[in-house]
Parts: sequence; structure tokens; C-alpha cells
Amino acid sequence: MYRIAINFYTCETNCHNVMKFKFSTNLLVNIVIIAFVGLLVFTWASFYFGPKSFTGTGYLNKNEGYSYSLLKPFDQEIPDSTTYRKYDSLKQEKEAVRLFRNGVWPHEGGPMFAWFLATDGGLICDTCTVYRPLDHGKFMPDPGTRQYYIKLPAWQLKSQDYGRPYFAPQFHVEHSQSYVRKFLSDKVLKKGNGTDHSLEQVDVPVKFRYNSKDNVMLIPVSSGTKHFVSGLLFGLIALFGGWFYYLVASFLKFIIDISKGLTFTAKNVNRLRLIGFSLIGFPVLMMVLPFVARLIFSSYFTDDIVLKKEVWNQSWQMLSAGIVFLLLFRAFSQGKALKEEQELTV
Amino acid sequence: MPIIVNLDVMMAKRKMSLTELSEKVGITMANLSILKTGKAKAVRLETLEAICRILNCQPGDILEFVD
Repeated sequence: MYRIAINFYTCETNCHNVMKFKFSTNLLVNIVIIAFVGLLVFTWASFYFGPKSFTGTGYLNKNEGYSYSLLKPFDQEIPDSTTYRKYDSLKQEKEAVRLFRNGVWPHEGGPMFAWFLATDGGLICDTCTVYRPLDHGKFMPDPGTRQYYIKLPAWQLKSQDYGRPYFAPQFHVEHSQSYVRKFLSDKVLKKGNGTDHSLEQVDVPVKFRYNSKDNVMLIPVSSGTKHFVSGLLFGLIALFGGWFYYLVASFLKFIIDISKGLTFTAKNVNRLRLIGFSLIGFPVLMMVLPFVARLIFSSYFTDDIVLKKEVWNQSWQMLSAGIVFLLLFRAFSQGKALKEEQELTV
Repeated sequence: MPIIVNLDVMMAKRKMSLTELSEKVGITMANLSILKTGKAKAVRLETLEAICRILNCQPGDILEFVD
């Protein structure tokens, strides 16, 4: 009969009948490095063999044609006959009014914890306009109702649909109801060898709000919820900020120790392990947290909301730095073992 | 570790102190103390040879394997 023991240490006595799974830090480092290399290969393969520019609900190929019907624009069009100076001013005013009607301008800001959550607030008014004081370069809003939000910075509306930015969904609010204006392919007509899509523009009511200027998804909440979440985020920021400064201090101590000639010491090995695992753990957490946020607010999500590419792009840099530190940790722990052995050789 | 160092036993048999042995063998007191207390991870053959010569014994008298 074999007993199974999962341990972090070496068995001293009575080890004959124990089938051991030794789970050392070195094994964990090896797993992380192998996983990183696997991820690199997978990413390269997906770029090389995967679809080149497929996004959205469909992709129109070269031999596919399309026709589409448009709804009346939700904002007034500026006439073509307008002079450039007037056009520029009207365009700015139109954008400000739209942001105001969407309830995201002027935004009051709030704490933001990486790609996970943030809070924000803004004025909302369906019929209000904006005005520009004579002595002021910026537009000012009419008084509106204050609206508070939980911001999901990792999620945005699709930047293109059917393979073209022109068909990208647009967000707008009319009479306090949010809509996503998008194209639906309701008919597919066969015409010779190719396919013709008939795209119809529709307004789909949604529960979320959207800041089209910053491309951020917003969840409307009450004032109390906003302040509670803000407090929670401030706490998280303080916690991770403190941890970050501790890592920086550890790295500085590591450099100082090396300059003093104290290279292969237990402290340095521990510091490198801490920095390496933190640099790997943080981006992994940052990649997981947007999905946690999506899970929490799953009832607000639609197919038009996608994850921002920046979430992956920024995580890669930190992951790579973490791998370098873990390799350094391996080298230093080996150096420490050799040093100890040499010191204890009589 | 299943290797036991019986240096203190041999030193007692030969009535030799650690200071005297370290002077005769030519290694420091600190290193000899590491060997005597069983903290040593490795022993050079030349060290073992010198100790055996001074204590007039065999390597097996100093090192013992216990399972």
C-alpha cells in the first residue's frame, strides 16, 4: 500500500512507502516558464495561421456584396454649404451635445483600478443644449441630472462589424433609454457565384451606457453604490500601490547588496522570487479581472461589447519582465547553493 | 544526513583537542568545527588524509553510514 504525500520538503524518515509529489519553487518556476513559451508559440501560431481580420458578426469577403438601409441620424446633420470655421464650431457643439445627452459629459472622474473597475459620473439631459461663454473657449452644459456610473475600462463597443469600420455599432441615448445602433444582416440573396448581404440598420435597446469619446462601457448606478465602489477601489489601489513600492524597494536593496559584494545570499534569492512572481501574478490578475467584471455585470453585456486589445498588449510586457526575473531567481538560487556548498566544504 | 562524523570520538581516544588538531592538520578551527558538528557538506580527500595521518586511524573510524 502506497501513501500519497504532497509536500514542499524532503522526507527525512519512513519514506519507503510514500509516493511523493515534491512541489518545490523550482518546479513552479519551470511550469511558469514552459507555460510562457507555450503561450508565445500559441500567439505566434494564431497570428500566422488564424484569420487575418475577422471581427464582428460576419466578414464580407471579396466576392460578397452588400446593400444597406440607414435609419435617420440621431444627431442633426451639418449642411455641406457651411463655411469651414462655422462647420468646425458646429461639429464641436454637436459632439458635446451628444456626450451630454448620453450622460457622460462633463464627467467628474473617479478612481480606476487597472482594467478591472472605475467609477465616474456625468450630467444627463435629453433636451438640454450646450453654450459657449464669450470669455471661455470651452462649451458649458445646461443644468442636467447627475448620473453615476461604474466604469468597465477593459470593455468597448466593436470598432468594426462585417469586417468594416463603417458598420461599427454606435451608442446613443434617447429619452433616457440607451440604444446601440447596429447593422443586422437579415437577408442573404444569391446572385451568380457570390453572395449579397442586405444589411438593415436598427436601434437595439441596451441596459448599459457608453462613453464614445473614451470608448468605455458604463453601468448606471446610484450615488451610494458609486461611492461604495469608489471606496473599495481606493482601498485596492492603496494595497497594490503599497505592494508596488515594496517591490521597488526590494529591487533597490537587491542592487545595493550586489554593489556591496553580497551577491548569492538568501535575501537576494527571496527578493528575485518575490519580484518575479509578482510581475507574473499582476498581469495574470489583470487579464482575469475584466472577465470577473463581465461575470458580475453579465446582464448588461451584449454581443457588441468586446475586450480591448490593450489589455493583452500591456500584460505581455509585464509577463516578459516577470519571466526574466524568474530566470534570474533560478540562476541566483543555484549560485547560492554552490556558494553554501563551497563554504561547507572542509 | 545518514553519514555521521565521529571525529570527536577519535579525538577523545587520542586525547587531542580541537586546537591542537587544527594546528597539526593545517585547517582553521572554524572549518574543523563544521566537520565535527556534522554541518559539512563535503570533505576534501586531502583533509581526510591529513586527519587520518594525525589521529592514526582509518577514514571509516571518522565517517560512519547509519540508515
